[in-house]
Amino acid sequence: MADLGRFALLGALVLALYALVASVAGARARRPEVVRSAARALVAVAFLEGLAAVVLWVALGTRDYSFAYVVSHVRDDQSLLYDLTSFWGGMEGSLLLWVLLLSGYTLAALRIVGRARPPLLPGLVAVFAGTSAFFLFMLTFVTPPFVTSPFPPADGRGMNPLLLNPWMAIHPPTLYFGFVGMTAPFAIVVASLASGPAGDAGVLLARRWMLWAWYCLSMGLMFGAKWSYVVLGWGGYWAWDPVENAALMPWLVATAFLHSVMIQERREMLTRWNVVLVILAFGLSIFGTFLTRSGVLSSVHSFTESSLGAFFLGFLALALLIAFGLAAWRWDALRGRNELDATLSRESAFLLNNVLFLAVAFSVFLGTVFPVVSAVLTGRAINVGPPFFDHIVVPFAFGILLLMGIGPLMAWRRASEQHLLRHLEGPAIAAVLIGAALIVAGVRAPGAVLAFALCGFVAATIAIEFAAGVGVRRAHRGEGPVRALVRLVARNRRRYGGYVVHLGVLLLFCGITGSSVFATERVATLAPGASVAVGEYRVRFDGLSQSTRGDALAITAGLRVFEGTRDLGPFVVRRNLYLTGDATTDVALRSTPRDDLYVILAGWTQDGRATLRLLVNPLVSWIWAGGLVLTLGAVIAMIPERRLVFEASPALRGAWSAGE
Amino acid sequence: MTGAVLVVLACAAAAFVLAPLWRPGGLPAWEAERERLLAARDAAYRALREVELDRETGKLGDADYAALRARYRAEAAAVLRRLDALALSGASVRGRGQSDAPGLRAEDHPTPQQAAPEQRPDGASARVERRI
Amino acid sequence: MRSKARRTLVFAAGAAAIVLSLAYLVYGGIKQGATYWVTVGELEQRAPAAVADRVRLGGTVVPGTVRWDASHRHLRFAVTDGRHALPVAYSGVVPDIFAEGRQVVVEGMLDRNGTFDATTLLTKCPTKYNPADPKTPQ
Repeated sequence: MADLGRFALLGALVLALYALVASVAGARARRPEVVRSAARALVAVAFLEGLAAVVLWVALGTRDYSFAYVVSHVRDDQSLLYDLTSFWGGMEGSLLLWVLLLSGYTLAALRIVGRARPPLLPGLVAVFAGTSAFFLFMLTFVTPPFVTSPFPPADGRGMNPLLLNPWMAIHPPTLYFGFVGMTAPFAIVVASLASGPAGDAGVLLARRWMLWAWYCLSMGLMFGAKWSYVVLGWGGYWAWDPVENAALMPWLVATAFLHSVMIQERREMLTRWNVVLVILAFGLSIFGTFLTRSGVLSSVHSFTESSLGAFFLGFLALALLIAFGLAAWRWDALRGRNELDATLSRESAFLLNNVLFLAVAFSVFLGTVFPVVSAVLTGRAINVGPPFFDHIVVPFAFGILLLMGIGPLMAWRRASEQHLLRHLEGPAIAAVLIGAALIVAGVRAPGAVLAFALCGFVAATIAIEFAAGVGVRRAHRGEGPVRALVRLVARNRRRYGGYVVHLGVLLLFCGITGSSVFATERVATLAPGASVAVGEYRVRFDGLSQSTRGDALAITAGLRVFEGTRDLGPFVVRRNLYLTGDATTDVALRSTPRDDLYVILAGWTQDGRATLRLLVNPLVSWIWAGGLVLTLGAVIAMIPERRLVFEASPALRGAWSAGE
Repeated sequence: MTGAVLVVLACAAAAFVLAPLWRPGGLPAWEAERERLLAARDAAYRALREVELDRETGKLGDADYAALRARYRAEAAAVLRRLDALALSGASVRGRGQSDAPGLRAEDHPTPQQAAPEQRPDGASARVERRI
Repeated sequence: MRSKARRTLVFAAGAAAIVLSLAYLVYGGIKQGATYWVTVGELEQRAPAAVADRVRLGGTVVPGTVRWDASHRHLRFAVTDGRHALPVAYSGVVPDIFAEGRQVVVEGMLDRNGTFDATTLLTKCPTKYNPADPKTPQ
């Protein structure tokens, strides 16, 4: 069976290379049948990759320990579900998942985009084939998943228990949908650049694909943060770890793109800039894949030193060279048709948005590669930790927040100052009121007050946008408010979906501010019966107990939580010690909209005392809620718009004859 | 056994992939000009719709609104006229010619047979129902 | 056109302002957060001059050297780069995955007695992306 898997991957590699060569040759020789053959090769590649995946899944599911990969990730006592999800738990499997998802995107893009704009087909095939070929090369020669041994052990090692968690099961695939998804807009743009001089460089066509990849990345980031918070047990959800940054960077660039593409849609400007953004997003996603696998940057995730990194960098360099080369070749033809009309306009707001997002992306990039850069430049590796990132990102985040409130209030082309100021009055007053209320309530941290006030400001502007839109519909058609709201959102999905996404981001901001600025921590060693106060809560330690859960020795601390005089019930925190020497923590988490009570069992003594680490993290649940709202907004925005139709053609005729 | 399976797979793949080479022929026709005009028309319609919405929600002053509206209407009219001319000329090969973004339904692409009946005295592009 | 020139000026000024503030923030961030990466060998070599230098040290926990004092939440262990070993003292919460033989990253400084006073302790998240190698014992 391993032979089948190996052959499938090798065959896929051969076919991918064929597709690459045939698509380019067929396009240049103007032989469409060769291009069609190349497209079919990619279909066959998808099939063969699926076959290899089935082989691996069957091996994992049947616990076939002749496979080295199965030995490292599966154990007899492990639940079948985690056996199967360990497919992407290791290097080889994760690369196989990457290439499988890439094939999925390939088939979808070839069908949809190939039909919408047939001249792009050769370029699409070439880009997807080239990328697939690289990963297939890695899977065939560098990190093969089907290494077998003739003497299979009796039992496998299983995965690290930290990974045996539902969040960790869905976090990689979701993230990969995002990472791999960046290839589709890249392919569309590169194919457009290669196939014809002018036009929109495929950017407008690529928009929807980028939106989808952006959404998947957003969810991947959320799931990763949730896993970090709930499973890793250090009390936080984001550590500016290189692996986290690897996913954040393409997300920032994609966000910038989603805004600037609207300028290109309305005004046929910034085509060149958007092309650069798409290429950059793809480059960062490959770079991110590289970061999490090479040993270049130490993080809590990977210390592996392997030649893998060199291959990835080589591929990245080649891809960027070709893409930017094509862009340079077409540079003049992509010149925008229009220019900025006014300093104060929605265009300039979106431009500013782009600058801010890219500044943040650049800073994150700089901080992430700092050890390598400084080692090269000064001979000594210097590491910059979370303070570096916080110091830079927070001010820019405030700027972005402010822009999020002002931008939607501006009209395209030219925003009139008086109208703008008139619209800003209400939200500004709301912001001041919120700030004052917070200060009166005893909040002293200026950053937090500013953050909440700004969030209030933006929320007010969004609310006004909805209200104004509903008002318009009611005035025109006399609809009831609910019906008007539904119709408004349904008819302007992109705009109002975007507003809902902004609302989600606001919740995120509030959650991050609350938990960063107002978190309370206490570490205490307690004897049974003793209590410790943290924040508004009092936690009483009732005693330690020991049990076996599965294949782990579980040390459980029974707790009881009180708030004032109210008994909030029992609370359990646990440490699981596995025979392999691993340990995991079952965090005691009590989540309310106001705050999270978060307790970890840090240690214990022979005489039954427990060391507890207690945290009260305000507003953390707002972060997860923000993720849900963001999903709602993204779904609304992604529903395709129907073909616009317009009346009054006689009037238009009149307009044209007047304009002649 | 595995060897036989591998051989069969290899032959099937080869046959599948190389089959098109014996049927020379074109990709579906695609008119760059028409697609470009349709995209320009969509952009103009979208802009008009947004200008209306911006005006109603108070972001656009009267003077700006009038100027922008006239401009976009002129643009839309020009594009419509060019589209009509293209349909009339009829010399170019017609393909399925769908619009850009995936998921859009092609509601109103006249094929050569339909172009003639669509010619009405007040212009070929009469449409119905404005949607905000 | 005059207004166009003015607009260009506004944009240029805005861009300059953003670039300058970014540079300022980056500089401040580096000063705040930067620590040097060292190995055990390098640190031993540079001692005693290296005392009181904030550094980041990577290495493996030497088996048999781990001492945990639960009442004071004080951890002592030795870290090695394969050739030299260094004693480390750490107060705080120990990550779940900390164990003998695991790779760790500690941040802190060398004290006069030759012990590394760690303020941060990170342990490698094991086996996530290691190439499958049946010969490597875990």
